[in-house]
Amino acid sequence: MSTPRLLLATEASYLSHYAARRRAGAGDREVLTFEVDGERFAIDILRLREIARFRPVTEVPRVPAGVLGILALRGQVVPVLDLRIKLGRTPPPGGPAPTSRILVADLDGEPVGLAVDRVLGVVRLAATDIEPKTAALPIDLACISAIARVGDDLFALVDVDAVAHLEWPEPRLGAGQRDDPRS
Amino acid sequence: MATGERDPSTGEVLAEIQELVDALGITAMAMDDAVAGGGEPGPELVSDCFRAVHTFKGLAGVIGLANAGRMAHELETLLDCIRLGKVRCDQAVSELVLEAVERFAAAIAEAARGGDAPVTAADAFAHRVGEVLRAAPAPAPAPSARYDLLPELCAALTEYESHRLAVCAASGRPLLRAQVVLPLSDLDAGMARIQELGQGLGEVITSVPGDISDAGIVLTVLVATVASPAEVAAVLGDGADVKLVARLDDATPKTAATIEPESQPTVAATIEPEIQPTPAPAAMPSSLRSVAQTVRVDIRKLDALMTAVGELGLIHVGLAGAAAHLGDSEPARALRSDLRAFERKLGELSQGILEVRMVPLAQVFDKLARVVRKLSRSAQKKIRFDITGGDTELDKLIVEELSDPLMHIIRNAIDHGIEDAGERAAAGKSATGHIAVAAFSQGNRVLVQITDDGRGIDPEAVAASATRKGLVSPAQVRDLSRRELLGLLFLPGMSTREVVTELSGRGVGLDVVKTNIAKLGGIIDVASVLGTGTELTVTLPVTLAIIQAVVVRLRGRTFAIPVNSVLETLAIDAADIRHIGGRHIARVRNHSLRLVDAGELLGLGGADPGRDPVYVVVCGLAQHRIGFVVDELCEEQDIVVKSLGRLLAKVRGIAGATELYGRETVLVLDVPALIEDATGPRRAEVAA
Repeated sequence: MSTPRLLLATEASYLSHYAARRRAGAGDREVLTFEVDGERFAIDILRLREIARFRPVTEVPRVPAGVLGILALRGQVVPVLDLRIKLGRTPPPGGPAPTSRILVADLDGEPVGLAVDRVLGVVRLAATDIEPKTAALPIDLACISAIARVGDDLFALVDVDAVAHLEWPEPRLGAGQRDDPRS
Repeated sequence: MATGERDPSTGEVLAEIQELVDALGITAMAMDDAVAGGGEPGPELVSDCFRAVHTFKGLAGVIGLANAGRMAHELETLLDCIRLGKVRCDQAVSELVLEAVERFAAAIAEAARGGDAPVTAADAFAHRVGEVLRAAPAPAPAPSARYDLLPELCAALTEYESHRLAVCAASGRPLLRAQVVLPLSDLDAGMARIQELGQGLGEVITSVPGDISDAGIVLTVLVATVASPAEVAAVLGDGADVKLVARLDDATPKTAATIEPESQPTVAATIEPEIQPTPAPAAMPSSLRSVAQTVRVDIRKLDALMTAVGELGLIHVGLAGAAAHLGDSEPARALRSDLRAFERKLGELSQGILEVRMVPLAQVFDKLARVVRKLSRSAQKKIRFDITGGDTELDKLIVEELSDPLMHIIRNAIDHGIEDAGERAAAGKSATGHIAVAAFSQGNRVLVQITDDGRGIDPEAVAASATRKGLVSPAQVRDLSRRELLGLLFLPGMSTREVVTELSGRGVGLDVVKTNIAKLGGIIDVASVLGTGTELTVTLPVTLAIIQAVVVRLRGRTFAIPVNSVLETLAIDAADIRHIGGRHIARVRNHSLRLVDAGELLGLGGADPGRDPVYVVVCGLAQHRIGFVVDELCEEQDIVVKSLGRLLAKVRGIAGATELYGRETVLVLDVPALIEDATGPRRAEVAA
């Protein structure tokens, strides 16, 4: 007796879900919004693996600016980048706040952590909400791919690949070629 | 190493084909040796080769390597003719087989990328085989002798077996007919004894199974041998009935398969004897049974297991730590006792996985032998190549990665080290150059030495060239020993063609060789006597998975130093350290030891000047010895080194990270790189 009702219920929920998806349209995407140094940013949610509470990282010597250190997450080594530095801000005076999080993003199959001050939430963006960065906008950073406008809120969309680009010093002589063995 | 999306079974087949081609390479070289010695390869060699090529053809078909398969088919035809005595195996044939091995290897490399051998290569190869078949010398005359055997038995022989029988008859070798009863429960042991006959005493022509009774299966074995029936019976074991088969010397037989009746009844069913004349570890599996007893495992699966074991170890450390605080109650003592048992078992488990990963260096040495053969021909230099220590075992990953650097070193030795015949004669050397590769274990390291008796390298010429290029300053050169001067060869700037000709020898891309070996945690060293020869020594860790490490503290942070590069740890009185020419030198047991502050080297800031005693980790690889000064020495730990990932792959001096005590993430130092940083010439110093 209960089977038909269950079927109807499932159908209804399926239809409503389907309708919502149709309304959402093809250009839509979801982003996670967060705060760094009092400003709002967003990152494509499809690039995120997880959000971890901030914890002390192991500092790595001889790394370019912007690398906080490494973290072991479930047996895997995750390099952590400081978004404040990468976005041209100064490090917080009192160290990371209790609200600080590490966004673990996917970089060609490997994890990379981005330290942020606070996570705000998930926002759905339509294609029309996104403006490419233009000269009119006060942002000229390589790490920003576009600006999103939702109502009165403005978010700068962070480009994970650009953030993960590190400026290594020229290899020293006698150091041999220490290129990435997998490239 | 990943090759993208592909049917996983293709990877397995490729691995199997690779092993097959490696084994074929060894057989091909043995055939070539036999031909070069003026003889003909023995029937077992040709059979081995034939079987390997046949299997290759089948496997190539499985994964759709049509062109490689066609080459194998052509070669198989040729080998079949040789096997049956229709074609003589001469130099042209053995070279063709060697060439085929190269082509097969190339096809496998292509296949790993989803390709195949080019169709033009297959056409060209087929054409060459056709030429060899047409130009083949006339086969040996048909044998005119035969043995007195039963027609039923003769009918059970394959064409090949009949041919071998005829050849043996013609050569006048006595034939023994042995009848043994092998219990079915112990068939393997019986078959092994028959194999043993073929390896030592003579040639096993065939073994034909007969009636099966409660006692076992009756096998009729034909052995061509000069040994006595008693000797053969001794090998085959209890109850073997061995008789000499009479020869019928008839001058008129027409075919190679002329075999006359034998006086006893027997049966007629054939089996292909599975005989493996070379018990080499790389030999191809020649029976279903041996295949069933081995498994092929993706190295990544072993890595995952190893990581899991490493993490279990960390959990154990945490549990043991907690258990230590539980006081002296009965349950607490029982828990601690169980934990100790757990630790022992964990040790066995990790040791077991390590052993599974170990493979003999022969895998790579045999490839080198093929390269020497090929290059010495193209360079028109006579070269003797000796291998020792091929059974030395190393982690599979290291053996794989070692292949290219060793290939490069050998290539250099042939191209630039070994002189041509005229120059050798003038120097009073034998016309045949000599290259030797030797491997041996030394503690938890393996040394691979490559020596040649060529023209050697002049350290002065190396120094002059490096100075001219601005890689080192003349002042630096004055401070360097002869050995250190030769070390300049490994600088990247030295790897140009121009330097090579200047030095009339080495230098091509040795920096790349060095880098590749450094990636494996190894180090390379060169020694040379001008006019006499050169010796390159590669020192490698035995494994990359779990390693022992010394835990140290530097400026309040914890680091791990792999013990495979640590010679000893010392506490030195500050008063025993001298400042000489801007360097800190300590006197340790009548030897001076250069000290370098590890924290400063890593850029962690200046050291506390009041340290006393000074803790030193003495590291050494090959002849470089250096004392790294640390702030604190902690205990030794087993660690699992994990890569820092692609993003941080370029960090110099850090080999990876590990989790200590289950909580702290700690960096593992890359000692070879740090030694180099501390000792190597640097552009900054030259410019200053």
